[in-house]
Amino acid sequence: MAYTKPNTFVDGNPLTAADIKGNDDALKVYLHEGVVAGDLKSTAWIETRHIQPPIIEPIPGIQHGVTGVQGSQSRTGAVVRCQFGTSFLTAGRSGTTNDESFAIIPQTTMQFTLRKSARILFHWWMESNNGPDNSTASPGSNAYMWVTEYDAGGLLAGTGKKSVVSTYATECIQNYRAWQNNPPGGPAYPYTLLGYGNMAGTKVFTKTDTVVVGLAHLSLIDRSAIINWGVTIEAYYL
Amino acid sequence: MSRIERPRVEPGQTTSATDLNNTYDDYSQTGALDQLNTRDAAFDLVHLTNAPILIKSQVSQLGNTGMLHTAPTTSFAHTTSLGSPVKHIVQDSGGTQTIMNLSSSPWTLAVGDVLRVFWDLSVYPDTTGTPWNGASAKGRYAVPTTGGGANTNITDGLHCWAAYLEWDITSGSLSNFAPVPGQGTFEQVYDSGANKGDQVKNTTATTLISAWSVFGVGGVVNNGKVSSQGSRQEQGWFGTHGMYAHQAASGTTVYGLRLVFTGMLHPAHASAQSPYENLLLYDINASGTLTYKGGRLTAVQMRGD
Repeated sequence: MAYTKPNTFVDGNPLTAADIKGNDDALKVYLHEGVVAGDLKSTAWIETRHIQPPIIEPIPGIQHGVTGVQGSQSRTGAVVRCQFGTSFLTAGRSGTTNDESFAIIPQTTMQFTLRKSARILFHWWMESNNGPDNSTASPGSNAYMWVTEYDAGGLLAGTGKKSVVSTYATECIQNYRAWQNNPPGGPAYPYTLLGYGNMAGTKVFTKTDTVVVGLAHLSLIDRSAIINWGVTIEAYYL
Repeated sequence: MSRIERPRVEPGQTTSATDLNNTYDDYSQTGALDQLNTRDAAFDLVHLTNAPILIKSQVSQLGNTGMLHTAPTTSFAHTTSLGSPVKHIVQDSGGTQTIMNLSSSPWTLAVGDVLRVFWDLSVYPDTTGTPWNGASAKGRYAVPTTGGGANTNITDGLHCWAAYLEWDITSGSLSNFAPVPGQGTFEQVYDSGANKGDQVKNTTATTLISAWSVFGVGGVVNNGKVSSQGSRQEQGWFGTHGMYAHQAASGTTVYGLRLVFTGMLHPAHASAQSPYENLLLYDINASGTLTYKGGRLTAVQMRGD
C-alpha cells in the first residue's frame, strides 16, 4: 500500500528514537516493495526500456521475456538440417506400436526452463519423402510413418521419461506404388508419386519448471527423409 | 514525477513536530511516480497484473481414438444432389459427434480478443472405378493419344473434400452452429442453379483433402499426347490439418466449435462475375468416400490489447 507514516509527532511531546525508527522502517518497506498502482502517474508512461529485456538464446533459438518464452527451430538457411525417420529405431519393424515405441526426431526438441507456471503452445510442421521401401518387412504394402509431439519432465531422476499420446499422431504413407519390379521399372521412374507427407500439429499444455517438448515418430518404413520442418514455441506466464 | 523539495534540517537548526510530520508525509504522493522515477529494466513479471494474455485453452478429440487404421473409423460419401449437399459433422464410428463443447463454461470474447483454432485429422479418401471419366465429371479433358486413334479422357486431379470450422455463438444448447467469420457454407448458387459451391475467398477456415491421385507409371507424355488415361493409385492414409484465427470486433460468447466435412468439390472460375472469382463447386457426378480415424481440435482465447 502507499506510504503512511505510522507515528505522528505532536509539539510538546518527547521525540523518541522508536517513533523515528518506526517511520523510517515503514518508509524502507514502502520504497522497496510498497509502491502501488495509485502512486503511479495515471497516464501510460512505461516504455519498453523500463521492462526487463528478454534473454536471447541463439542456439536453442528462443527468447525468454517477462511474460513468457517464444522461439523456433527450422530447416532453413544455408545449413542443411534435413532429418530422418526410420523403422529401425522405432520398434515399428517388430509391429510394436505403443507409445513407448516412438523415437525422438533429432533437432526438433525445444528445451528451456520456466520462471513460473505457463501455458505452452508447441507448433510443428514437416514435409517428408517416405521410402520407397521394398524390404521384407513392408514389401509393397501400406507402411506408414506416424509423427506426434512428445514431452518429458524435469531434470530430476525419474522425471525425464518421454510422454507420447499416440492417438494424436498423424501419418504419411510410404512410396511403394512407384517401385516397379517388372520392367520397365526401378529407378528410371520417379519415386515421388506417393510417399510425400505434409504434416502439422499443435500441442497445448501447462508446465511449471523445465520444458522438454519435441517431435517423435514411429515408422514402418525403412527410411523417410524429413526435408523441411519447423518447431515453434509460445509460452505464456499470464 | 514524484519529487521531494523540502529542504533537510541542517545541524544547528531547530525543527518542530509539524516539520517532522511533513517530512514523512512528503513520501505519500498519489499518481506521481513516472518514468523519471524509474530506472531502465525496472519492471519484471512480478510487477505485472495477473490479467492473462492466454485466457482460455481447450483440446478435444476428433473422430475416433487410436493411431492405427483398424476399426473404429468413420466414413461418409459424396454429395449426389445439389439440393442437399453432404454436411458431415466429424463424429466417432458410433455416430456421436466429436465437437468442442464449451457450453458449461462458455468463452467470452471481448472486443479485440483473438480466437485461435487448430485441427488435425487422419483421413483416407477412396473411390471405385473411374468416376473422373464420366461424361459429366468436372475436370475431364480429352487429349490425343501417343498411339493415335481416338482421344483419351484424363482428369485434372483437382477433386477434393473440404473440412471447415463452425462455431455456436447463440446458446449452450449447441443447436445453432454456423460457419466462423470468413467461412462460407458452400451453398451459393451459380450458373442459374446448375452449380453450387462457394468462392475461394470464403474458405478462411477450410482444409482441402485430395480425393484421388491418377497417374500412369511407365507412361510417356509426348507433345501434349498421353499413352493412356492412367490409373488411380491409392493415396493411403495421411494427416490433414488446418488453422483459423479471428479477432472479435464485438463481444462474442462461444459455446462450441466443430469441424464439418463436405464434398466432393472441384475448382472452377466464375468469369461472368466482376471481379472474377475462383470457386469450389460440387461435382455430383464424381463419386467417392472419405474415411477418417481421429485427430485433435485445439482452441485458445488470447487477449488482443
